[in-house]
Amino acid sequence: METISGQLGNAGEQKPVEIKIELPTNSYFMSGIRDFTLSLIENMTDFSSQWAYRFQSVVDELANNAIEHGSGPDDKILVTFFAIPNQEIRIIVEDHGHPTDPKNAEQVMAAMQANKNRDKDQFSIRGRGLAFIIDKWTDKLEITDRPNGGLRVCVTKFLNDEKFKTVEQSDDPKNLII
Amino acid sequence: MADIKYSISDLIDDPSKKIKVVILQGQLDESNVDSFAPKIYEMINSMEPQTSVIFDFQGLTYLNSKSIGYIADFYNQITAKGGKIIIAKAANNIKDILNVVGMDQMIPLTQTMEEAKLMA
Repeated sequence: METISGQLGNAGEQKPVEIKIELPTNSYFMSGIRDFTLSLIENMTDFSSQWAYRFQSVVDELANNAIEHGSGPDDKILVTFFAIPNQEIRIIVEDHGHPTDPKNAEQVMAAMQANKNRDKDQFSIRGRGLAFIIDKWTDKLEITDRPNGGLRVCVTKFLNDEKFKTVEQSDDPKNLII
Repeated sequence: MADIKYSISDLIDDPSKKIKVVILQGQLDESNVDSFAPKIYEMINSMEPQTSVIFDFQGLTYLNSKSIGYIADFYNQITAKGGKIIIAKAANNIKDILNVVGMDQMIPLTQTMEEAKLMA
């Protein structure tokens, strides 16, 4: 894992924080990125533990998609964490495109939509990350083509929503409380 | 690479049922799930028909979408042989991700191993 640039602010000063991490296309490093994401959420937001874990999964899924579907061997992806304290946290993952089977933004969005409409028992091993985990646990999802190939996927979670500070109460045992 | 430890054993509490217990400890993610999954496929292929499988997730701290995809495939293969699959003692963050992808609609989740044994 190679940090290429970083700018750390103080949450109390309300300055935006941007951290860029360039990753080799090897899932070996993903547990470290997950740990970093949890630490970032704890330090920059009032998220409940439940939402911290959810955002950890979102980052993991985004990066894994970029590595598996948007990169070749010995390639790199760029993960950018951008946080405006008390306002929003944004994750941007950029890849260079798969060398032999590149997908554009329109194709990826179409595949995501197809997976969202698919019966739960009609999935292959893949397809749940973008369609469910990323889509349901973020407020805004933007997928765009990069000028020289590859995709830029940007997700935003707005922090000023009260529901993210407290866990929903329900009698439904599926409504999980951490 | 994320660390995952597993053990597979036969549950012999109830001679009227054939039950395998898979205990997982650690994180199951992109870096290790492709190596882990064949162990479970091997177990399923060697099981007698009507054998149920309880996955004890008490020690599992992370589960990604591809791992969930494998669990769905385990479900298909185990039920095709007449068995059941149950997930026991999962932490809240694990239940949460199983819930968001709809896996809890296919596979029962139990708080305790005793409940899982009754459902098997």
